[in-house]
Amino acid sequence: MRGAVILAAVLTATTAAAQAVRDSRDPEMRQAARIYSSDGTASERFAAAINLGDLHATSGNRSEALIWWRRAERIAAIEMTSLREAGRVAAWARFAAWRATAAAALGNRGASVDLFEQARRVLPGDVGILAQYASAELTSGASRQAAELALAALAHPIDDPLDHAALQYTLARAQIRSGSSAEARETLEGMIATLEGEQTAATRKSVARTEEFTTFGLSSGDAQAWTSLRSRGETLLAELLIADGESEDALIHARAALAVRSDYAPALAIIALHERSPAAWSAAFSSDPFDRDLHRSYTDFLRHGGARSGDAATVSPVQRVIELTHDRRWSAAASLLRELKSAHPQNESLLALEAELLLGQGRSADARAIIESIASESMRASIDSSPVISASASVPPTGTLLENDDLAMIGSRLIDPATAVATAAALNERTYSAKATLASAALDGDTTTAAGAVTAAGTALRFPSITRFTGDLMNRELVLEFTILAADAEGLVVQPSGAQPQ
Amino acid sequence: MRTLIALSLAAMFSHDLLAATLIEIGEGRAWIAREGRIEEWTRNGLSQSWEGPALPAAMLHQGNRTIVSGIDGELVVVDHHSGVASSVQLQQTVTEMIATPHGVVLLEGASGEIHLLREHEAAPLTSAGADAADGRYADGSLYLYSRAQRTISRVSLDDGSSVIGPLSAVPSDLEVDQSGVYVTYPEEGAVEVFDRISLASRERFRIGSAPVDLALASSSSLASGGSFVVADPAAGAVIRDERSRSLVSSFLRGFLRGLLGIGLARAEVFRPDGRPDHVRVGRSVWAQDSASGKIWRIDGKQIAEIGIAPAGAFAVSERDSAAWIDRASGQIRWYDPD
Repeated sequence: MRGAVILAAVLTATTAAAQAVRDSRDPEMRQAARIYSSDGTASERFAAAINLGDLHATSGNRSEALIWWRRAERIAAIEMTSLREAGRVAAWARFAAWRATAAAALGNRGASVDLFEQARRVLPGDVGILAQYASAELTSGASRQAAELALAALAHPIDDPLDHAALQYTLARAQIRSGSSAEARETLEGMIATLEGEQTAATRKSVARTEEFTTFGLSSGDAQAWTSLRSRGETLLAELLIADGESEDALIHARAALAVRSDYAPALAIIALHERSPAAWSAAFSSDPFDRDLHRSYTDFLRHGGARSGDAATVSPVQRVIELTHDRRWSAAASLLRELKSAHPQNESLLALEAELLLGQGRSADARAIIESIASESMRASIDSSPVISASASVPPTGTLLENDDLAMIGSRLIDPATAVATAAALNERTYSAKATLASAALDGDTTTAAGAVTAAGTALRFPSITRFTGDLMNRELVLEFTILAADAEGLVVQPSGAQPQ
Repeated sequence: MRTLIALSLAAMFSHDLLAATLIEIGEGRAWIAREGRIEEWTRNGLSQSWEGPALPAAMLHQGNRTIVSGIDGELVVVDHHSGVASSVQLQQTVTEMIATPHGVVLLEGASGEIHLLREHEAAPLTSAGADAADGRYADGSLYLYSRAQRTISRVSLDDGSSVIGPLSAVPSDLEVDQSGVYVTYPEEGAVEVFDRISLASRERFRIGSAPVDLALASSSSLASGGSFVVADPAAGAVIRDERSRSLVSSFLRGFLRGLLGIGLARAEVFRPDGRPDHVRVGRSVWAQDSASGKIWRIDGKQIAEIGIAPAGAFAVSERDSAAWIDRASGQIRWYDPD
């Protein structure tokens, strides 16, 4: 049962945003590819194929991931046919569950659910199948159903503490996605207690020995499962504690994750964010440059005025793209991104960064085309399509200050067909500023959300998308920095890029 | 297995076209839940349809209403008087619905929570333990088991009180007759019979290799104990055997049969061309291999292949009429006995 449950936990963890994969995944990929090409058993080849799919997915390569998941699904389907004909229904049911797992990864939830139900009729006492079912439902985005199944599985007698912990991890993730973070905290605390229990003492000794003599990527079996579960569980708990404002405790758990796996990117990101440590950010990006959670954390860090590394040699290219995008240095960001894309043409994390860069420039249509080309739903969802503008009292707007008459004139020239093209060309990517007040603004915590602004003399400025401003700017006069995109009878469409409260 | 209700998730295995499909028949009509629709069919074709759950988990047709629950917790009730379908979102997935004189029992399989739906209100009754399934109604009580706790329960629908007994393995199906509760253990190759009142184990015997599904056939009499049939995909067989093998009852039946000169009954094994894992009983025995989709009708000693349907997507009435979804075309097919 071990294999099934651990596999299930790994699957759900990896098909979400990349959390546990490092640059050192290349050896794992090579090893899995060797197993797939070998004369191994169908189980071994299935495991190799599905793991390869997951590894490609975590590195942002969705199209390659789909190829491997389809191969895994095919292996299971062929094996199911021969086992059924031979009357080996227990083995058939296990392959049915594996095929169901592959079907969920491929986005076919109906098939996945059906196959799991069939497998459970033949092996009703196999808690591993139930655990896989829960995990596959999480992959399918059915978090409530995943939580129900994980709870049902945990009610079964489970002898192996690692299987128990893997199920608790699946349950915690399902609870978080269902919005039950308090329950998830309890589950994760229980999971850590399971991993620290007497039953895992031998495994912990093995982990300690492994860490002394080799790198994590080369360890295997129970030690690897224990390390993976411990680092993930501690980090997930740390993230929940941060959300609850308990930063000190969060840092303790993030450090506990790093104590068992020193290069775990999500834990490094937590340390970097709270200790404002450029070195920790660099380490996180070195570990997993394509992790979208990491991208978001770093973007937030920069938006809140975080310091960046002064040593360019330690900054990874992906990290640099995020910095350049934040600085609105569009050409430099685009140029570096092009280089990265030529080296990783299938990488969807880079496409997501490109979409964000285009959105920052106000090129919504181009961004939309990129977003539509991204196959992974979670990757699409990770794109910050709601620009955040840092409102800073200390940073004066750099654009040309326009008076109300100037705005009215630009508006009329953009509307007039005779002058529209020339005016648009003259405005292209030039930054302006004007005194204004946010229109239709809403305050949420320390963020003001607005669809547009009104200048001091009444000219309406409309944003191409709902835009968030850090800081309470409601009903306050500010100098708004923007590029002009278009005009119509109702006013100007502008892409805001900065704001200074007056 | 209930004769009027076929609750199962099913797949259409034509390449990537897979879907959950449920079907029920009665009153010369069939109701199908699939792909976000609830359909009512007659022999003349589709008569009505309503929006339903995207992935149906359970369906019940009772009187003038059809109820379909979805995997994601949606519960859709179609009122056939008004033709209106209404939908409510539940906290958990209702995996089974059982019609009883007390109201409709809703079972949330994962948690084992049981609710009783009267009119439009669902009242919590009790819990049967996690990972519960195969609820059956008899004489004011609901019988079901918990796979997680390895227990069988009899729940009074009057007051929610329970009698609980231990199971010797993890079951895959449960049926109830006048005296006993029959439970299949596919991983043990066995069937266990419990006393219907005390839930004490009465007998446990090996049958086939992996009995997955069980249905009760003709009812018990003094000369005939009645029979049950199991679908055994490992053995590739449908096996019919006497319901009760208890020493006293068998002895008495054997004595009476001897007097009547009709000999001792023994297990009959039917081997269709496949691996049957679903079985239903009307006047004859119906079986299906969910992998190939083949459906067979077993009448006397004759085995006839009737059609090919997604797994479990066939229903049989007490009068032996049957309906199923043709796997290739997705169209409904009917069978009526001569």
